[in-house]
Amino acid sequence: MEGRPLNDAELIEEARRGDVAAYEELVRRYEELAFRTAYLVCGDADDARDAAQEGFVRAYGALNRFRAGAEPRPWLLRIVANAARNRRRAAGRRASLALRSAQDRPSDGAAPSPEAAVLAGEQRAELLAAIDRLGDDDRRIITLRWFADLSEREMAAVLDVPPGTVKSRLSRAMDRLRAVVSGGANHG
Amino acid sequence: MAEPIVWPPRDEHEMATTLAELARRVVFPPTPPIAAAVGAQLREQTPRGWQAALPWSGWRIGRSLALAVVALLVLAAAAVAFGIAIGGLRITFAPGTPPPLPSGAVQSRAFGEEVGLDEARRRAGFQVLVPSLAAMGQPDHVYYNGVPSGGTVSLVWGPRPGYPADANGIGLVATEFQAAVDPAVWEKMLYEGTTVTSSDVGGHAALWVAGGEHTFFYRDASGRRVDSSLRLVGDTLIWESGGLVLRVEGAPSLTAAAAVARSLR
Repeated sequence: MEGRPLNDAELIEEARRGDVAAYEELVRRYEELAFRTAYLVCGDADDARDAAQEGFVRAYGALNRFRAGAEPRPWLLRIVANAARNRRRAAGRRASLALRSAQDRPSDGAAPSPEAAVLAGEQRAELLAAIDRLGDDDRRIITLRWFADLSEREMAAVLDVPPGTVKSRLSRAMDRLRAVVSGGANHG
Repeated sequence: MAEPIVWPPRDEHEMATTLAELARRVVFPPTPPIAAAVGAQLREQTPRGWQAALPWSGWRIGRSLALAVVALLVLAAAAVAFGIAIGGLRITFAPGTPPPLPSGAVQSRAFGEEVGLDEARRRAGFQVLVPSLAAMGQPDHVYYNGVPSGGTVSLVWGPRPGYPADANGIGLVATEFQAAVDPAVWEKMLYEGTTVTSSDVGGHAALWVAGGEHTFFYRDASGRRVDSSLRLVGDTLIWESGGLVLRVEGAPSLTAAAAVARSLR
């Protein structure tokens, strides 16, 4: 049906024909996810921005290799994450994530109550600090899963690991995070 | 019913519940306008048609967003001083908000005389194009205005699927006039809050004017502003093709406007 917004596959088809505006629309749909993913991979907002932009420009050049009918999301995330990894390596330092938790009410506007299943501000800060103390690999897989809301397949693409290993890697990372939060074991 | 949070979490399930709760509150750094930067970079790498004649196309807008922002600021400064011309249309920028329109002007829109499509084609000094997009069908109203030379034809639709009506019941307006007129005749004035994005329609450079308010008027032979009542119905795609300047106004997005633009026959 003409007149409705084009879907991803149609935008990709238009972009393949050289329609930059169509590609720009596609990028707009994924820019936030790509930026956040790149940020979680490289740990720096400026590098994440540059990596996302570089990744999307590379993906445009590779559109002819994109398999028709495939999901663009993991494909785009893989390319952006590659750019982010390269920047992280070039920076040669371990960046500390500047994530924080909102202090205000949840976005649904509901007033907190003693019975509500919410995490107190102190506990949120403690958990974020614990995540930041994890090793790079653990921190990355946990934040990609929970904060970027990636699927196992997308995490595998971003981390460049076999899809079958994601679940066990995540499980081990969660165990180590729990140990850190409990104030116990080392978090290697 | 949300699960209660156990702190500290005792097993992987409780850890997952706690992380899910934290995820609702996590604040990322704000996402920069990556799509616009990617579009600018790609257009810079692949100039086509007379896009090369656009004022900013020769500039090296690199990957750095900061550089792109600087370039846009310089462009805006140049536009304030000189305006941007597409065919017979000059785009200028003005501070503040537009002056109030005379009452009734928005309703009348001053499109000109209402005529049938055949009559518009007979009067116009150019071949009038009509979108072939199935969703649009034939225009509900066709107007002819004798200014500038060769005339201006406006095609007006009520709401269509994907093109909702504005406050005046207008879904979309397509306007066409000959490009070979004095750039000083037609002028489009942009006010604060309006952005201009370079785009393309079928390989022709185009401008997407979105947000804020913009007016459109023409000047008489002495340069006096004749009529400022041509308030646009919404965001506008402007381009030149085959000696015509074309505008598609009121589409809900650049993609929707481009779909109409590409279907003009």
